[in-house]
Amino acid sequence: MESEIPITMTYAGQLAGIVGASEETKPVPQGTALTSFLRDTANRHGGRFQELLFDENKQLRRALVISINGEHALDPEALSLTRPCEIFIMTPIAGG
Amino acid sequence: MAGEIRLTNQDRSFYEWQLDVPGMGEEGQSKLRNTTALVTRLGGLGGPIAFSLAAAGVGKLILAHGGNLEPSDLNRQILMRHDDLNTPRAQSAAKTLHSFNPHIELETVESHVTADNAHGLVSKADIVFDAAPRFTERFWLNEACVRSNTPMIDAAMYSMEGQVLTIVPGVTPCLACLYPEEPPHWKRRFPVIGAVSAMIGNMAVLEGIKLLTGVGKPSLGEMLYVDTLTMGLRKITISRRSDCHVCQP
Repeated sequence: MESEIPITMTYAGQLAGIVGASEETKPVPQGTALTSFLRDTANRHGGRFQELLFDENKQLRRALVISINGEHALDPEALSLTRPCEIFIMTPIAGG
Repeated sequence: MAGEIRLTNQDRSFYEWQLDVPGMGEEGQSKLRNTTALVTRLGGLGGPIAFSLAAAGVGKLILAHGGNLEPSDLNRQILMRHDDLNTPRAQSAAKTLHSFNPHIELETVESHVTADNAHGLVSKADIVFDAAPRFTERFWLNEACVRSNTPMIDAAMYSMEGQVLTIVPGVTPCLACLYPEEPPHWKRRFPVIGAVSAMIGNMAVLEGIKLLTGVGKPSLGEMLYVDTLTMGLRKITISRRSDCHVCQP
């Protein structure tokens, strides 16, 4: 039986506004691909959240800032969740 | 340094309290005095940036911002004045800065950064503070800074949060490493409280002062993210993209 690990998602700005919380923790099977986890998360929150994370071809948007335990995830497609961690995710922001 | 402007007794009296900051001294102050900083956009972020650079005694500020002052600017654009509504923002900002510190040089550019002027503006500066709301402007500046080996401090905000990225070409990742493409959902109009933009702008200035003077440790290779709802500060280690079209050969 595969074991589950807790993953804490921390959302910045727009995403936190959509979710209604800046943090949530979900158990996932160890070894789950990061993009698969993010796709499930986006499906759960739906609509605008989904649109901010994935493009019309269902690809993760490249301009998202995603970090795992404080390290920028440059290539999220290549990453799997092998141990409990915190994933921080923010949509791009600018000046003004 | 050729053509170096030396501190005067008047400078010493103005910056006396700052000279006492450990590591600053006359040497650090002299570096600020001999620095030209480009500040692009003088709004919620850029206004406080320019104000604090003037307060710190940075010798010359190039102030780039197009358009006229609008009522909706005034909740955050601290260099602007109600009396200047419907007049050029860059002029309004320069007037405020001049009355605050008449001993520094100001150059106004009544235009935003464009693909055509980015390299020219950057070439006149020792350091760039980017507070532009449009990603295209930020990308033009980033590229011009990388090409000319000019450090750039990029500041951004949204609602109650903000971020600062210190870019030193050849040393740190660049803005295109963080954002390899323009986000399609960013809207020019977004929620913000002026105190948040002032806080983030001042964090950007501190990064610049540290870079220029050697005081403290700039956050190289780290993006600073602040959530003022919780007053949380997060540092995210940013890596260079091996396929970055700007900073990789």
